[in-house]
Amino acid sequence: MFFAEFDGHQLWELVSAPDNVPIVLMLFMLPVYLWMGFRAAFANDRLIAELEANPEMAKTHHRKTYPYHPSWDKTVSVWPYLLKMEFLAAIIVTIVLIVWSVFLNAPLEEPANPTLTMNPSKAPWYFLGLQELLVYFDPWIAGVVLPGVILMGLMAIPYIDVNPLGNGYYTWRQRKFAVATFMFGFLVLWCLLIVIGTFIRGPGWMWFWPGETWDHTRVVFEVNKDLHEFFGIRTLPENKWKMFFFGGGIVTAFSVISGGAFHMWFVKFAPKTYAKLSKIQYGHLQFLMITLMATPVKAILRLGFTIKYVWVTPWFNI
Amino acid sequence: MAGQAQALPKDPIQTRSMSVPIFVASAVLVGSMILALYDEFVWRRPYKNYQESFVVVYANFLEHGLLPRQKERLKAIEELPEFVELAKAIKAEEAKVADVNARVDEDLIPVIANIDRIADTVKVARAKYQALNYLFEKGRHIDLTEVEENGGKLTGTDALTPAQEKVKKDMDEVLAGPYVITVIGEDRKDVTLSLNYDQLNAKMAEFRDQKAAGENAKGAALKLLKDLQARQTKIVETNLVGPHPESVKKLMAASDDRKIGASKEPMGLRIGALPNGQVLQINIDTLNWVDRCESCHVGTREPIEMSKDDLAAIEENNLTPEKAVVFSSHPSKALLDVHDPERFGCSMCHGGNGRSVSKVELAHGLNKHWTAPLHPPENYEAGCVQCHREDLVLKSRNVEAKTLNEGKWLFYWKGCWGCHKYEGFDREPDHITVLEKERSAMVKEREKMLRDREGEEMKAKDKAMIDQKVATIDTKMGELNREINSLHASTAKVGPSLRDVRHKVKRDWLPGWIENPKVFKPSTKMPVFRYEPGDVTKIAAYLWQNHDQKPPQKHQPGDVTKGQWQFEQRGCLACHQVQRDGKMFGDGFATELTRIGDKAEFDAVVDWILNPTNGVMPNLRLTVEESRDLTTYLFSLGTKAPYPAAPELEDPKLAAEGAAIIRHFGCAGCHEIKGMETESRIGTELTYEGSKPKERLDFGRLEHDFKKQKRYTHKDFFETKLEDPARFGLGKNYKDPREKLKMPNFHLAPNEINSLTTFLMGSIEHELPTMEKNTFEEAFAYNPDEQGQAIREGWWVVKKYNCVGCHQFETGDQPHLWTMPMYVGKSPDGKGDLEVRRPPSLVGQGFRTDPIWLAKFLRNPALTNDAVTAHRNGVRTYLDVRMPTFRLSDLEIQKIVRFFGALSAQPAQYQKEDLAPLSTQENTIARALVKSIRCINCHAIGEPKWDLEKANAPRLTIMGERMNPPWTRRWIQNPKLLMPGTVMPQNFSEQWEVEFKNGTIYRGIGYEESGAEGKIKQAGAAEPTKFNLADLKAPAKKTGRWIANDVPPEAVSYEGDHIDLITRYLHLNYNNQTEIDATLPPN
Repeated sequence: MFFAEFDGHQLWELVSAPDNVPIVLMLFMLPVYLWMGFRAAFANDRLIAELEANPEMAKTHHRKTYPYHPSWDKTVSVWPYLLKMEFLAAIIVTIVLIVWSVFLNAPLEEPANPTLTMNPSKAPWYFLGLQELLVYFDPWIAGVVLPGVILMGLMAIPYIDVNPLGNGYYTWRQRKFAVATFMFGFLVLWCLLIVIGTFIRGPGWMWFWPGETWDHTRVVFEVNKDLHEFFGIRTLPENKWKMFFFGGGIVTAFSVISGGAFHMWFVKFAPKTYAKLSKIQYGHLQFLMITLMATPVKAILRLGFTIKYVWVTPWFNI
Repeated sequence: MAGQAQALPKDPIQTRSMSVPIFVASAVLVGSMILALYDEFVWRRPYKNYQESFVVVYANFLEHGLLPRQKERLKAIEELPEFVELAKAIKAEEAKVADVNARVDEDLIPVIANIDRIADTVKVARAKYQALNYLFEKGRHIDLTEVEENGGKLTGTDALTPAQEKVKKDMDEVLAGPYVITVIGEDRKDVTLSLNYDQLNAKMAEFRDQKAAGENAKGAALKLLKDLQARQTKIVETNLVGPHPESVKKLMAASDDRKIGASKEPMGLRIGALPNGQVLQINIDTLNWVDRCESCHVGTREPIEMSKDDLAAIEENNLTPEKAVVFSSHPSKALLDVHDPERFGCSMCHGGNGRSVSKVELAHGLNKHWTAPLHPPENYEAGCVQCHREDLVLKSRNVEAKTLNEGKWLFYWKGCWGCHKYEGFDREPDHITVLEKERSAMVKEREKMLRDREGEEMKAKDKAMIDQKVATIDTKMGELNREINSLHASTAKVGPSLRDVRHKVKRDWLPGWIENPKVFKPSTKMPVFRYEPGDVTKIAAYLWQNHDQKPPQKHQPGDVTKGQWQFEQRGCLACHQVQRDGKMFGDGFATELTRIGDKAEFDAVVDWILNPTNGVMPNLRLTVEESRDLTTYLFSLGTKAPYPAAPELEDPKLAAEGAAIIRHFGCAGCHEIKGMETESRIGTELTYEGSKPKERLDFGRLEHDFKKQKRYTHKDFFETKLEDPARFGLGKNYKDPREKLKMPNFHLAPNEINSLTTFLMGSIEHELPTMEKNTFEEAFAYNPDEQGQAIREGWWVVKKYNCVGCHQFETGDQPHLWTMPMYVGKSPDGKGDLEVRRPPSLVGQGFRTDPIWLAKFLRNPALTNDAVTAHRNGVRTYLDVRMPTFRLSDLEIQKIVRFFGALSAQPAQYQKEDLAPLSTQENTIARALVKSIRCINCHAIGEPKWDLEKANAPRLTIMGERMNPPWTRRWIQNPKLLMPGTVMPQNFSEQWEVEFKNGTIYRGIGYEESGAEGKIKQAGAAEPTKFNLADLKAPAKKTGRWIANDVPPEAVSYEGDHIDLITRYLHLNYNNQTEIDATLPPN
């Protein structure tokens, strides 16, 4: 174990808190749905391969979902075939919510006391990922810029995505890049951060492994330095331009290197897509990809190498 | 194959029906909705069940508990002689009036029947007439303009309109009738009458008059019976505790019918307002506080006391006391009378979550996140602290916070405040700070004035004014300085001063004591510290080498027997104790003295007794010989066990190291130590410890296990910490041993731990502002009037000096000294009861004595500075037990005096009654009275030989200054009334007056009647005069004048009140030696 004493009681308190139950549920549901999704995707992929072998079918038959029989209709109506499934789903979700609300009470805590803040103070579970980002970036970046990039990026997808395949059915083969990128962004940068924020972060927002006692008096060595301090530039107001250019250089270099690497990879593995993309579309894609990759890199630098910020400027820190 | 080919696989999307899953899901959805509703109305509203059960339990209580009890009580009352007598009288009277009643009733039968018969006809006729009358009187519409133009008159004709004509006609018809009625006539036969409207009404009035007359006759006949019955009811009302059985029966009927929520009546009980599943809440607007406790605890404010044991005792209820508690009424009605739940709610005192009604655990605040859990029974009184922070003693006539009082007292007495600040416990230092601030403000003002005076443009007049102002300030400053000095003088730390350790104790004894004082003296207050090796020697060396007192005088040993007498009779045992036959003898307020000889130096102790200089130990005004005897006796008690020699205490190097250790352990919190005068406290402040977040309580390595065992509470923290202060340091490693937990172990008894825990649990702060923008303290804390304030302040002083060890303050108190064998039973030398030798009771002291005199007495209880008599008691010279001289500050004296005044409900301003001076003749009479009553047979008079040997009552010669005249009068009238058990006889009686038919009047005392004969003792007569009662003109009566039982010849002709005379004499003239000499008995 990473720590001396395993504390089952602490762990139970953590996972049984009504606030954390959804996260525990998420831990199990995510793999299940992933598996279901991929099973469907692979089945469809096989079907697509089968259909592609028959050139006629490949062009005309749009119902590329498994199971399949040539005699079946090419399309089915939303009503009743989709809506009755959705209705059933709605009923089941309502049942789950009602039963849940009967047996799990709202996680109310102490009466609010303006003179006393709770420790750890945690955001609602769906925001814990963003709160975790605060460890790695300053509030401006973590709280405004990154969520902004996420939202804008999600909105931009239809305009960047030039691949017409995969609409309305699960597929891996036809959208490998899109699916992989999404899985990285969602599973790693969103769900994992929520799990960390829920189960790992304890008093003082310190790192406690599951089963480790949440000791309010714990003291850890956490002297984090800015990257430039390793290179002889101290974090002082008079060094602000030195720090600015040093950090700016590093960030630029990272962007150039990672952007270049991505470019080489993309051109090699998806030449057709690349060809379809306009310069503006590709530029946006590059920017989003660099940001996506930079976030975990910074987390690793911070957790693994006690580096506080790479780029310190009077306005923001990265 | 072909067949199979035709049976193509069906499209699952288009062919699957989904009806079954949707139906099943819908059914489950309905089920889950039912579940939600059930949850909402049943699971989350357990109070409904409690309310249902309450109705049953309550009905059972009425039927099987209250009714039999009240019946029994009523039966006992009905057996009282006066009741029986009345019952007889009532029976006789009933028999007498029965005939009358029957006759009247008989006569009334036809009258009532007649009324009945015509009532309808009359009603209809009247209604018709009135309706028509309305129409007729209404007249017609008029136009104001028209009327005004016409000079205030109506225009047109006065004639009635056809419609009105019709109405008039109808009215006439109604008036004319005829109304045909059949009534019972005189001979009880039916008579048919035909009447018009007026006659009909007259007939009705006639019948009514007949009925009223009959009932009046009945009432007159019944008057005496009614009176008797009223008297009987009165007897029941005055004697019956609780409701009348008939009322109980009404209640039972109401509860049977479930007249729930009907009215707040009957009998003022809550049954009429029994809840029907609704939430019952108290809403305190000012605090935004809501308590719904009564939703389950419905019977809390039930006026009839209904204890859990009462309820459990009723078989039908089938409840254990633990379960019955939810239905019982509040166990202390007296407490609720003072703390109206409508104003204070429940959870403010009891803790818990007053808003929650969904679950017992939640309502009681026992869930994880509620910061104020319900106080468990043993800590109920914790709720008092928040409002009664400044009271050391919380008690009134019928309620007393025993546990809390003990807790607060322990906190004070054990010296917890030496290390832990707690607001209000630093009485003197806090007061000094306030006064010093005032003083420095005054100094500044004075300086400013003087500067202004030096200004050039000042006129002579202004300068004079400034001089005057400065002079006023100077006077005030003088007073302030005196107050501050006296406060400094009365500031006492818990432990003895260690400035004179070198002279006071044996050197070799010191290290062992510091190491573990409980070994030498298990009863000591001094706690056991956890030292590092070597600490003890260093501390001892520092103390041994730092002293500033002069060595004591040399003294010769005295007499052990005499010393023992001093120890037992002077009152030492009111505070001190010694071991005798393996038991403690005396009181534990101050230190145990059994082994004092083993540790202390003889000379130092003799000197100390003669003049104790610090702490609260008073001066008993012993002579040097007495002090030597006493010390010799005390030194004879020890075991004389030797100690290992400790010459290292003389090593200056060790002493130097000791200073830091003494500071570390905070010894100066309880002891005065040279060089440590300005040490600050080392402990954490405890004023609001009860509401400190649990995370900030240092549970150490045990936090986790405490959480697991559900003991992660303030209560458990306090209890564990008090039981073993080192517990929360277990399992930790310390690089620097000085970082270990410092709190020493007081070895507290379980009840002491509980009391202190109660006190600390209650020490909470209300942080949230109230709605009216004032703090909780301002809005709710106990804010007494002048008397309450005086009592509150007084207790601090009275307890500080242990006045309660010797004196009784309220009837029923048992001071420890009173229970000692020296003061119980008969005197072995045959001098009477030992009770009279104990320190006097101070019940009613505030009414008894003049406050100015009392202050003087407290300053010097000998009332003299004369070298010989200064050793004695000033008032009760004959008592061996001595009122010692305390080092009280002026403020403390003021507080004690006012405390007594307030206890006796005296106003803050004392105005001594002006007594009329005595004429020479009156003086002679009064002198004769004092002689004849033989006051001086018992009372002391300031004559040393008499006072010491014969007297057994207080000095009479200081009456004038000492007593409050109204008290003297009342005391002389009937001493036993003011102080039950006093030996003072009743020397005066109220005069009787008998007037005979022949005009003679006898006035005297001792009036008695026996058979037909009466007797009365007239003034001056030796024997009572007998007479025949039949000769009396009127029954004997009292005149309101009091005369002596033994009237001396001089006083026979005196017309005035003897008590008034003797009061004036004693108060005004009896401090005069000639008067004293003149009243001495012949021998």
